[in-house]
Amino acid sequence: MRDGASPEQYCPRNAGRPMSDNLREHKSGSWLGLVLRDVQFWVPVAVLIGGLLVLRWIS
Amino acid sequence: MAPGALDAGRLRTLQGVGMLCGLTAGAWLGAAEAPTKLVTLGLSPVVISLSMVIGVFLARWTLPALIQGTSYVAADLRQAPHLIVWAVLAGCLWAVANTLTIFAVRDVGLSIAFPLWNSNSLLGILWGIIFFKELRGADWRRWAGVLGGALLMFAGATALALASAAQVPARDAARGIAAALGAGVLWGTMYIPYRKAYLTGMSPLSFITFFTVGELGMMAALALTYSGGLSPLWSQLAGARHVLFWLLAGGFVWVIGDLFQQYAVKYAGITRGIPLSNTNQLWGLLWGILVFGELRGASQSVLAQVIGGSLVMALGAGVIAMSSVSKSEHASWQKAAASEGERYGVDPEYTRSRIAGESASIVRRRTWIDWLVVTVATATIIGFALIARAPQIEIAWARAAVLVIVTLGMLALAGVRLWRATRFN
Repeated sequence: MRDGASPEQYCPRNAGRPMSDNLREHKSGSWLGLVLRDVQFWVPVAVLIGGLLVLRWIS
Repeated sequence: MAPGALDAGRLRTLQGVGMLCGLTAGAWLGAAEAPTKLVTLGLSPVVISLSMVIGVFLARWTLPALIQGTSYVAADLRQAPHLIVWAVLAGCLWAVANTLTIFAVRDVGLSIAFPLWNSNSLLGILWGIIFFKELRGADWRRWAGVLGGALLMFAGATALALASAAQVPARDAARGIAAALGAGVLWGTMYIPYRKAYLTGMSPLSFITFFTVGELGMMAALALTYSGGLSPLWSQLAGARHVLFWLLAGGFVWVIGDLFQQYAVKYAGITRGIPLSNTNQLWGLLWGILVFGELRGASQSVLAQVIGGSLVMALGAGVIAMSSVSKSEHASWQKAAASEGERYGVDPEYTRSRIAGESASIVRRRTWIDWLVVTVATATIIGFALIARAPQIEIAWARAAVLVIVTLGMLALAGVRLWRATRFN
């Protein structure tokens, strides 16, 4: 800046940021909850349980 | 061009690298069977699996430490910490699947079990289409190429199985088949976490470090459960110490193949990468026939089936390799990636640059931790090598040398192209 001011005085860090950025900060603390609420997560979990049951049966 | 869309040249480069990684993965995953063939003792399946997983664990920390450094891995995980859970889950799936394959081989033989669990590629394709928008926007020729190629590979694999089925006495066919199919379903579903990670942009080298925590944890739990506790397990491992090196080596070689498989999934997608890496059956067969003298004295009809099945499999792989991702399909991948990033709050710039094979401004530097990891892993492997017994099995060394040279050549070619195109991102 020509007058020595920091860029943030003219353009604060949060100004003009896309909504997804703010959402990211909000979500970063609860990513485990997001995983548990993701339907796709439960497909491999169900298959893993099925695999363990097959293993128990054949061994 | 849509924001973040790749230009046609870059897309072609990444696709080509992904396909090459898939084929290289096949060669290395097939070669991983060679050290395990040297183990002829009557070890229990869980001890074999646990020993391989220990080798896998060592390799999965050594290679990332050597190639990128653990600080790079840590920086990657800070961008998408939720992928730790997915990586551990994928590792658990792998461990159970690997154990099932050993039971399957014991009960119905490798020749039948192998094509059954290689059906994982068909399931992987299904998950890719349903969850990750793969093949969306692709023309009918690409749909036909991927699905037709996968079915050709499955048919070829089945022919290879039938060729030597009569040579293996089935101990308990129903259980063996259930184990092999179960392994196929587990491995096919394991590609959901893989794709999840790579759509987000994570480097395979970062993903595997936590993948292997799930792998070793689940395998240790299974080994403790099925061996009857720590003391019996320890005595079994101690009794097998002279052959543990070969199993560790098998695990180590397997990781190199798996790493290329993961890059194939990242840059070519599940629908192309997994069928191509399933050419490992051809390589396993080559090692078996050329180096270990399998099928020696087999009838003409059996040999014809083997050759025919191999050609059909190779044809299927070729068809898939020619069904590259179009720009419109890649745009669908990017939509899936954007929704994934939005769900978990990942920086869109990180996802965009990593899907394009760029580094997203993460600096690589090695620390003393990296050298410690490499030193401990190397010392462990050397320690087991020193007490290993020479294999009591006939080996055609000259042919083995040729296969090793070809496999190393593929590693060099794919490694150089991957480095040039993506810097291993």
